[in-house]
Amino acid sequence: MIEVKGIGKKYGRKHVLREVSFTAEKGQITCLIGINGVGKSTVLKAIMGLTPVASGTILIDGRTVSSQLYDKITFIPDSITMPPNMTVDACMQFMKDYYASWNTKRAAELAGFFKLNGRDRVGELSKGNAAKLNLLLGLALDVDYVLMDEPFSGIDMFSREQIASVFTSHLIEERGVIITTHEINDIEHLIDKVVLLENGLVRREFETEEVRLQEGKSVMDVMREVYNG
Amino acid sequence: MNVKRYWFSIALPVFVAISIGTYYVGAAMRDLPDYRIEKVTGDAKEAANLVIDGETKRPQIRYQLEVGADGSSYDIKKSLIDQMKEVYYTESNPDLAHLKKEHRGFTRGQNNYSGFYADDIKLVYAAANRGSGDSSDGRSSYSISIRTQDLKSGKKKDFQAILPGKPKYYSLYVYDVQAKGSQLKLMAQLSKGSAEDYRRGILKSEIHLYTVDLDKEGIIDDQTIASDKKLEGGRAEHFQIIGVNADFVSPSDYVMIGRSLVQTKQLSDGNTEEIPIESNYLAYRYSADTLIPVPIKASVDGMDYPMLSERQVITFSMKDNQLHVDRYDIAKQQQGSSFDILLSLKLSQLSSIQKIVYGDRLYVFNRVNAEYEVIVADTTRGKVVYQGKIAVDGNAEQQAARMKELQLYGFYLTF
Amino acid sequence: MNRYLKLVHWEITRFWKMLAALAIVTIVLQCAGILYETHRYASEVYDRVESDHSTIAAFVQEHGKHSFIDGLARAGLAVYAPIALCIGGLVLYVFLIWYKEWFGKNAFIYRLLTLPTARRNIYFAKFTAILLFVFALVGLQLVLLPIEDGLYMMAGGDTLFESSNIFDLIANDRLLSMLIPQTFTDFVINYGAGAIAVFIGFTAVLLERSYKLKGIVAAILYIAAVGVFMMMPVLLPGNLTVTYWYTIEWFGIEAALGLVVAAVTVWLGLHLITKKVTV
Repeated sequence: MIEVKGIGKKYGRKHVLREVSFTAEKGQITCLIGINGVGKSTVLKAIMGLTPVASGTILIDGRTVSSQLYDKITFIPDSITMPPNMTVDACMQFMKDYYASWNTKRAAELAGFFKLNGRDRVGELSKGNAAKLNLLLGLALDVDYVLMDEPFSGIDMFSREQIASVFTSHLIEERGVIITTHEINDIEHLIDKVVLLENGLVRREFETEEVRLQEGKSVMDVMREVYNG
Repeated sequence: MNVKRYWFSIALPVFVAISIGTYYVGAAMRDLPDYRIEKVTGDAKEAANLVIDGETKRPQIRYQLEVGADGSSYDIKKSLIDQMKEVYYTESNPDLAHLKKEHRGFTRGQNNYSGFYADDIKLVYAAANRGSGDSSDGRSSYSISIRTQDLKSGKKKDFQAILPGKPKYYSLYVYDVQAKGSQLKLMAQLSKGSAEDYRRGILKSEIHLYTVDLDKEGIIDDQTIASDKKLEGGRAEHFQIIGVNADFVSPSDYVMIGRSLVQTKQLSDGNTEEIPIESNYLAYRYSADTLIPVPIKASVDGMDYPMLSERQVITFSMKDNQLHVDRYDIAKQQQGSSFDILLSLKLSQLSSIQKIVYGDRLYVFNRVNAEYEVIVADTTRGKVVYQGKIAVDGNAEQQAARMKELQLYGFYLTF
Repeated sequence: MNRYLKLVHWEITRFWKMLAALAIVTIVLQCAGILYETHRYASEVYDRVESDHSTIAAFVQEHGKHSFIDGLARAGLAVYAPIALCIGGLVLYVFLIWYKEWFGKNAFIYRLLTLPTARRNIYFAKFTAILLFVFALVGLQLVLLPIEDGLYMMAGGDTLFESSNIFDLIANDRLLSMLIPQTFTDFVINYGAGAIAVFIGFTAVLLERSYKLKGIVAAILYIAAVGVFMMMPVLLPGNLTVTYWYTIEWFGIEAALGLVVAAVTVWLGLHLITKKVTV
């Protein structure tokens, strides 16, 4: 379980996060929702140890984040993070060199599924293919938690479908996933838990199944309530 | 591990290690000519402490080196640390070198070497300090800073002694320091003239003896030993302390003073010119508080000074191809026996021979073209105890070439 | 250790093309300069001999042969400019080796900081890489000199020209003797001081990357503080003046201060990259 407890962060004078608390369970897909700039990416980066927080604590399976945990949790940012002149094969080799949790078989499987050519250079890939490669590099790791930042933004529809299908596959099944997005149309049916962020605070944290059964509301309904009310 | 992939990352450090390593191994093992002081006759131990420094004029570069009885030591092969370590040992005066080695803490930061004194009981250092007050006419008030260290108790003293009467001088320099009980005797040379006098060549020098009371931490007596005088007929007398005491750090009862008689002449541009008429030596004897004449031959052109070692004043002169050494016993005030040193190399002029007197030993270093000789004599017995030359390794042809490249300058004693 | 080495390898693969370019520029310019010098000197001598109605032999008799040391000195810029270029390039890379990771959106720094390896390995791998590149170019120069000497003699011939011993050559040249000091101890001292400067550069970059504008100010203040700290023996009040210490004591004091600076700088840098750096 990932526990985020009361984290706060300032960029200059602006309080991006005031006191954000929520949890994400293993085996669930948790979605952070909020308008652009509300600090969703910042929350993910903070969980990953890519940016320090001014206050609060973050625990992953009860431990604070450190480089030893990077074989248990991975972060897939919203654009490719490999040097543009590297080939797809070289990227996979890179991951293999450094991660004990790299699953070569699954990587090959994903590469086939996404139809990625090993000899293409990262800089030459289309936006859709780049996003798929990014996803591959994260999902081919046998990690417990996967954080994804805006996995669908700016991607063409067909690629979006392909990526969405990954979410229902065995590739995600037992892992804890946190994704951020500012629009949930494509994946509303996949999400197990929602965390609504506004003005640096968690406005509402709920399980989609529970709310649907008990209040008869969809996620969109709750969002409208919270943001307009 | 797939080595092929990493070949460049392995090759790079290997290249670095080989290229830089080979260079430095080569530099350290470099075969440079090994010059040494080689014994011809006598006791090799006499030259064991001698070091001669100079340079080799190799075809394209000069290297500084030092030559001793056990071989050469090149600066180019020494690291910065090695060169720094040796700096404070290489004083050309053995007395001072010995003091610096034994008492590093006491000698640090002191520049007036003639202000040192050391005996079994204490170490003393005295140096004149120019005051910062008004010096519009070139004259300033001076104080003398005095440091002492008791060798048995380790106690230190540090104070500024003010000259009685607070006179102002153009310059003041402490040439000799002697100690007895709780008193110090400082022999200083000062100039009373103003900046204007100085420019016109009129120094108005005087030699003063200051008595310092260490308990009271001040100067209790200021005695003028000698002072420049104008005589009749346009003549003038000058006095100068001659710092030729080889053992100036060790206790000595004498200070050599030179007196010169000159004829002054007015030049057309208003300056004065002085033509030397005659000069002679005197010695001040501390224990008797008197100036006694020292009837030795004075140097005409000032190029060859006598040397004072313990109670002997040693003078040199040329006699055919021999170095004639005269000794004058200053305590008994009588001429001692003289002896001659036969040089194997031609003696061109006295000033081309270098001499060190230390204790009862006289060290002589003679150079003629590309040949050198080293001689050590016992001055009390008047005998030569060691003769040596500079030799180098290699076959005959190499030796000849290497000796031609060598240029030795001066020598000193190490401890 | 393994991951540290892999990171060093990674840095090498990213820079090797630039390193090769610097090496090639050095080789080409220096060799061309040496060859041109033989040509220039020879024609000067011929002109002189002609106008004096003398002979080459007489000229050599009077002036001696033109040694490689002489030739190198006269080739001047062709030899020194590439060295300056390499030094400039490497100094720049002390900073670029970090900043390149932030180029582009979601740059490689994300990858680097989330590798399952202690963050200090990243710091030390970059440091090791810089040292390797510096030493590789020094090694290149060491290898080039005897080759250039050979070229010199081959092009010039032994009538007018003569070879020089490499050790003599380096000792005679101010720039070369700074880059290649005369003993290995001196090499360690000189490049050790350089290493401390690299650490300071790294930590300055990390200060900026952790605190942005405040970080730049902090970096400037830190460098100033280091300067004051190293000058402490001189600035201390009281009777301690510059002449008080023997030279070797000075050296010992400054070396100790330097080591303290290195330790603090590295500690600070590691602290920043582990806990404070932000993407």
